[in-house]
Amino acid sequence: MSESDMAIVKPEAMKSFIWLQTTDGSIQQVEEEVAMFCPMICREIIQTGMGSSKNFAISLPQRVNPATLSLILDYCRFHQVPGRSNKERKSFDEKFIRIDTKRLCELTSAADSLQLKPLVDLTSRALARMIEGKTPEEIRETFHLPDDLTEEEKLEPLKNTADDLRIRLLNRLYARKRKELKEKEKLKNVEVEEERVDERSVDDLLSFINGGDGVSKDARTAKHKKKNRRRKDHSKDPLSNNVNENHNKEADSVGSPSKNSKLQDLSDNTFAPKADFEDLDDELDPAMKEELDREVEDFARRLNSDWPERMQEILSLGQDRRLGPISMNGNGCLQRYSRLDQR
Amino acid sequence: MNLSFDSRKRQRDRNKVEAAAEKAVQSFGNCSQIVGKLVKMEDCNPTVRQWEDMIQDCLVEIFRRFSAVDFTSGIAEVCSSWRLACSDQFLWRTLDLGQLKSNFIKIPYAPYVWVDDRSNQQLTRVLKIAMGLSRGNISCIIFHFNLYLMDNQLIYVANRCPRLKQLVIPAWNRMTKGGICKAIRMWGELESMTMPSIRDPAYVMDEIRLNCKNFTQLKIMGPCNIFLASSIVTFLPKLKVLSLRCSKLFKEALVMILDSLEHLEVLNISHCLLIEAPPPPAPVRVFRELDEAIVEKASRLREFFHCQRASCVLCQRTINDDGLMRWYKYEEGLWRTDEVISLSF
Repeated sequence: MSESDMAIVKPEAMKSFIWLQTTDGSIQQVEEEVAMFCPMICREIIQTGMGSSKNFAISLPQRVNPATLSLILDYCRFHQVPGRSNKERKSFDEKFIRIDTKRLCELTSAADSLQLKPLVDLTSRALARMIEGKTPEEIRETFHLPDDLTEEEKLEPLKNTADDLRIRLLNRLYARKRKELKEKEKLKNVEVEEERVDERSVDDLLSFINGGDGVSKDARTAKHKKKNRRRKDHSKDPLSNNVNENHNKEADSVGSPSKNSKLQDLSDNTFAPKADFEDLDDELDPAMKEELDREVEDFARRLNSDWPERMQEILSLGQDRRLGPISMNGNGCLQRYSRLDQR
Repeated sequence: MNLSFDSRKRQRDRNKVEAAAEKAVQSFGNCSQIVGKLVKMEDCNPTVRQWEDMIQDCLVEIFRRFSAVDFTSGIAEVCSSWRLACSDQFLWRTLDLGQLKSNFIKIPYAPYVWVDDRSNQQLTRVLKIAMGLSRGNISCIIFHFNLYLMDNQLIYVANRCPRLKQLVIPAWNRMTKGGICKAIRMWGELESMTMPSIRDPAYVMDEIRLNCKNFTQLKIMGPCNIFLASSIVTFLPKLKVLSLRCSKLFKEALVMILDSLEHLEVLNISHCLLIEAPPPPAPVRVFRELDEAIVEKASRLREFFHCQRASCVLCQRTINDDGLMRWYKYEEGLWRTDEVISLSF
């Protein structure tokens, strides 16, 4: 290949360049040996032959913007020179990573997409050092991150349940429903309008989660649709009564057999949106409870319930965990564990 | 990063869906905001999606450098995407608590160690976070030889690591027979265990035999006498790999192992203090050379590690420590090594 020829005799005037294009469309040229230091670029050149001219510039991954690219090329330009001592390289690296956290993050991600492992290592180590020992609040400040975990989630990082998205969503939905039920019982004169809005948002959210197409329309249109379909839903009342019974029974304990047998009976295997889901009624009180129940039922129907026992265990696990305070003193912790053990 | 791209991508996709769903379910009240956000995600351009993927990948790469203890400072409590990255299963294949020791003192009566409360609580905290974030994905756990777990901590872990395959747990002082058995019963997939030498090992071996059908590798960190050997031979006849390194080893035990463990493929008796105890009044003697009979029996093994050289540092140390190696005196991490690669952590 011509490259090996070039390696032997390369007067300055004959230096070859590689053309690189970032996602914003801008193209730049870079000395060949510098570009070849990146494994991803190197592979592109060897496998596809691209990069030798402006028209055939190598397209870089999306995560590499021009500013980050120039940083990366600086890194490559320094390190690809074979003669440097370890001390020199180390001191260059130390100075190199003295940039603000945002650029450091961008640099990590760009280096990762170019498979430049030494740089990924360097930046990851730097970021790890910045994170180490800080409290969550301090970390959020340093990296400008949102504080979007609930208090419950902060105390108990992740539920020890099966690695199944749908079961977790169901758990969460049950938790929300229970909470909502409690709140509704307390505030008897809650605005009807308010409730209707809430209900609709749940429908939209849940149908979006299911991949439904209710999302692309805005909330108002969805509201409209629901109003029109209200007639259909009257026929569903007998069903909702049935559901209500079950739900009330297990309002006290989620893991009750009646609930789970209901889930076992539902053999719906798909997790796809269905028309009847969007028919969910937004009936006013006194059918509020039935409404919530029906939503839970419909949602549960969406779940692939081929782990009935597991579901039971998980739901009762979830219930157990809500028992007792979460205390961090030695005795408290031990007591909690013993309760779990007795399960 | 030598992480398979496809499985990472699959995991990322799942994480994405979960993150979206979590956000949605969390904020019922914020209708229009949520719908707006979800709409954006639905038809967002690849750049935005890639950014989220990037965050997860890079975060995992950063978090890879933390030990389980570091997570107790609250890394998983920063925000939802960090929490998601903290429970990435690539981080939790192995739980290495080999740097975590109990703050203890020796006492002259059972259980012969006393651990202070604060150190106990710290362990509990670390275990709680590790079990929470690992989501049942842990397949290898390493405990330090001075980390004195209690029954409830052991069972807590056992409950949440159902897929455990390799266990290094050299400190049993504060655990009971019942606790250990209960834990073993939850580890149906256990394949390898490193344990201390205990006075009555039969119950452990029996419990393993009953519950761990794939158990093939055992390492004992302590003296091996005829009782231990007969327990192993009786209850773990299918054992393939056995390491007894750096400990007192009685000749009759060695012979029994070589004779009766038909499926044994790898045996490590490196740096052991070999003892021959003929019936009294003949004196107990130390021997260095393996006699022909033993060498012949061992020749059927795929790998037989032995080193009884006077010049070997480890051999000398074993002799100085009278057959029960005091690992705390020596280099950090030396206790974890083994000539057998699969038992070296």
